[in-house]
Amino acid sequence: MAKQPLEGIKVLDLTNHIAGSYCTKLFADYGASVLKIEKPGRGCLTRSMYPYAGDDPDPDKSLYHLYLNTNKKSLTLNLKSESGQKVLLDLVKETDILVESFAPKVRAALGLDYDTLEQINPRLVMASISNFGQTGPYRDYKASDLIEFAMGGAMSSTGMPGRPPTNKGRDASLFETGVQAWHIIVGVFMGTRKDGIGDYLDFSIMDTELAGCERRTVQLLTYQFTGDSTQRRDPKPVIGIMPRALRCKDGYLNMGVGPTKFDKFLKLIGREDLANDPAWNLFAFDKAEEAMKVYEDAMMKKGKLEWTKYFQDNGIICISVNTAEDVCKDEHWEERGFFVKQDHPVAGEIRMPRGNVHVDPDWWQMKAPAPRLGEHTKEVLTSLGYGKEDIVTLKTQGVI
Amino acid sequence: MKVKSKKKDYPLKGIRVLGFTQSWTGPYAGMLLGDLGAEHLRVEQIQYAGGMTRGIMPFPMEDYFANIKDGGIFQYPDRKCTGPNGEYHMNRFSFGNAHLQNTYGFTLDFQRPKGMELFKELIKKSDIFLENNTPTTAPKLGLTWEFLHEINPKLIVIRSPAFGLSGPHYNWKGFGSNIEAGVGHTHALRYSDDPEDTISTLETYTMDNVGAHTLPTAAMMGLMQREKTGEGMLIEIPQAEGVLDVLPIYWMDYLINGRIQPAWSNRHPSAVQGCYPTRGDNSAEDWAVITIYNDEDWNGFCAAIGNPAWCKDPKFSDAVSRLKNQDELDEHISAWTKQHDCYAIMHMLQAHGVPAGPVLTEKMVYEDRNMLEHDFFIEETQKWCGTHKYTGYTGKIRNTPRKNRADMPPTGLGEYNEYVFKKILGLSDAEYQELVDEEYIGTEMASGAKASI
Repeated sequence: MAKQPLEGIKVLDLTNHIAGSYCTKLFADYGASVLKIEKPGRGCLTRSMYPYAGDDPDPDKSLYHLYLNTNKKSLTLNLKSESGQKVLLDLVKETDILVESFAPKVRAALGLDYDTLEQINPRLVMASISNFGQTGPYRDYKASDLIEFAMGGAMSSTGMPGRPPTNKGRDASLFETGVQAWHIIVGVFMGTRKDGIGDYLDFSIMDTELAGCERRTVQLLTYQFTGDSTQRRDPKPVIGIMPRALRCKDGYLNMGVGPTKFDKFLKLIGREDLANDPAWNLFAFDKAEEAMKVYEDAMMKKGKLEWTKYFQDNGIICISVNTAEDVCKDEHWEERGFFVKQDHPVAGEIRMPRGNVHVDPDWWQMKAPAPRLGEHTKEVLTSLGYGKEDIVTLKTQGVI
Repeated sequence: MKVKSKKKDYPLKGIRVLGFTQSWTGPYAGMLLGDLGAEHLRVEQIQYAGGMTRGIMPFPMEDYFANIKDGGIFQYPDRKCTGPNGEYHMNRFSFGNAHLQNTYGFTLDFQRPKGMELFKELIKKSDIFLENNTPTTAPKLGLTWEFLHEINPKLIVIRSPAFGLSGPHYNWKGFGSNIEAGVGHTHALRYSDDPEDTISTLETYTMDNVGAHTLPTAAMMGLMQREKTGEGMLIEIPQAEGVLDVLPIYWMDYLINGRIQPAWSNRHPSAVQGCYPTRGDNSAEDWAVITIYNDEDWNGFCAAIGNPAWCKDPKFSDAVSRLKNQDELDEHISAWTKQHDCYAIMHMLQAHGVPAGPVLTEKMVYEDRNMLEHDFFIEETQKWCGTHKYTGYTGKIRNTPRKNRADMPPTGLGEYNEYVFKKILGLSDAEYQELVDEEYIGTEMASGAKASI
């Protein structure tokens, strides 16, 4: 009995960057066998992305590579050569899901079109992930995570008024695209495993951002409702006269106080007098300035963790604004074993986040670290029936 | 180009999802399962406005919303809570309406025993139970995993609380902005040059997007697993972990290299990248973003702007120098971008192979050529709001159909009460009327209804 839900599903990974690699990582971490095809010599782009373990720019030490390619196997293959194409087509025959992220022009030049591949394997589910989709006026345009967020995300409303719009956490847009693509591919596969009919999926990162469960989706509907675009706002009152962020002794607190809890909040910061004063409520805008002074005076008395616990224990939503160090040292993640340890043959002992789906027994498993370039080339070719000498020939000719 | 498609059925046809969900992650996940053909039932109470899905308050202040003119996620058509013909405000809220399609909304007061008995009957008839409340909410109502498993051994139970079902903060409460602060995203999202303790405003959250798409995927993995074992299972998906999973470099750099990554804002550690002011043809605020990864991009950039003399300055002639002198370089780039419209900047630079694009406002998104050509938006007519263009689906799929959201636009409060109680549970007209009379169900909030915040 298979322990992991995606066990037995074969994924061919022809991705080169974050969105595609994260999508196939999710397949691999929940049990699918994922074979990553990499360019001989250089390998996947994620191998040459800052930062590196120990600041050593080694293709096996990029933190992106170490995270994005866990549980995968690596095969090097020159897809531009005829011999490489033959190996690819042999692999496609026994593949359930193929994910690729070449630029549309490159994909076409490599002969990776669904009409051809479905002749070889009618059950094949193939997904393309590209910047702006396989069709449309921008299909050949280049992008970065910043450009994708600017065009598909809520960048125009992110940041402060009077200053330029700003990006969110680095590459988050691309990682999110990976999750969304994973979801839709699994959805389509649910059908294919029943009816045996394959499918082709075309993911544009820009469209995917717009289709996500993000503030932007609602901002767009608000615009449809009113003609108002969402403006960048100060972290001033989020509802009524209660700001989103309150300064305390050693940092900031992020508050969530609505109309029903406002009095309680005032009591908890020692201002029972104001809580009992009918002139004070969440929408008493004439008190806005005075309120900020009241908050500041009270909040500077304690640190952010102390306040967070105090408010949470008393039913008020509040969480401290944490740095990466705060997060990594947080007792909560420690106790849940969220940051897992792994021994990598080149990078040494590393730590990374585990998956967010928890089932007993665990569906998420760390079975193998990110592979070295071409680590499984021989093994895979042998399984396809290539002999020792054939492999030498392919290597000599630069195919693998 | 039209490609012939093969006849396929909805992948999740015949699967029933029961959603006991609040704001964003849960309801959106249910809608996504609905898109794939599942029947997504979602419960609400007329005694309680939960999670701000349908409003900040059960009875909104008309004046307050009439005066919000800078957009946001809490708004009504024409800024009017109640429609011109008395259309009900709870069914007109932009936040909920953006993700309540392909959903059978029904109401039930499950706090009273008779209501809970009916809810249990629905649980017995469901395949997937979705909830994203605080960890104590469902057990307090008696809906523990053990109980759910006992009354329906095949049930796939998905719980998605903020911090998980265990650990010291398991019972901490929070909305998106609170949780993203706790997991370091807010800190990472500051402007690069701001002091350590200054935070900028979050109008974007990753946890909702990651959660909304992980929940239905986990549900489908559960269905595959159930085929093998014949049994349901408990699946826990903490929303905070979703953020941590998509920002891995911040934690790994600290855990492995002991370094706290700076807030990059629009900059990039190994490319010249920024957000630059433009001539402003499209709106009062008009910005363009540009990424120059390598020498090839740089040469393309210089050629696109006509190779001015400063391009040859040794301060900018190689990748290392460009990064070291980016402040100065940005001034030159801005001087050029200010002469052009943001779309023109994209087309001029992309013609030379340089990644660039406009920062799109809402208006620009609806008019964007790429989105129009992709036929991305879905025009939906919802009876309380009228006709509007909603955002579309993730990805284009050639063969597999998805349920058209226009056929099932944002559900009204209790809109499918008859369907749920008469058709699924088989109640008689008289029994149904009794539920209405005793305010177990309804289509408008009961007087004295409470809110969650």
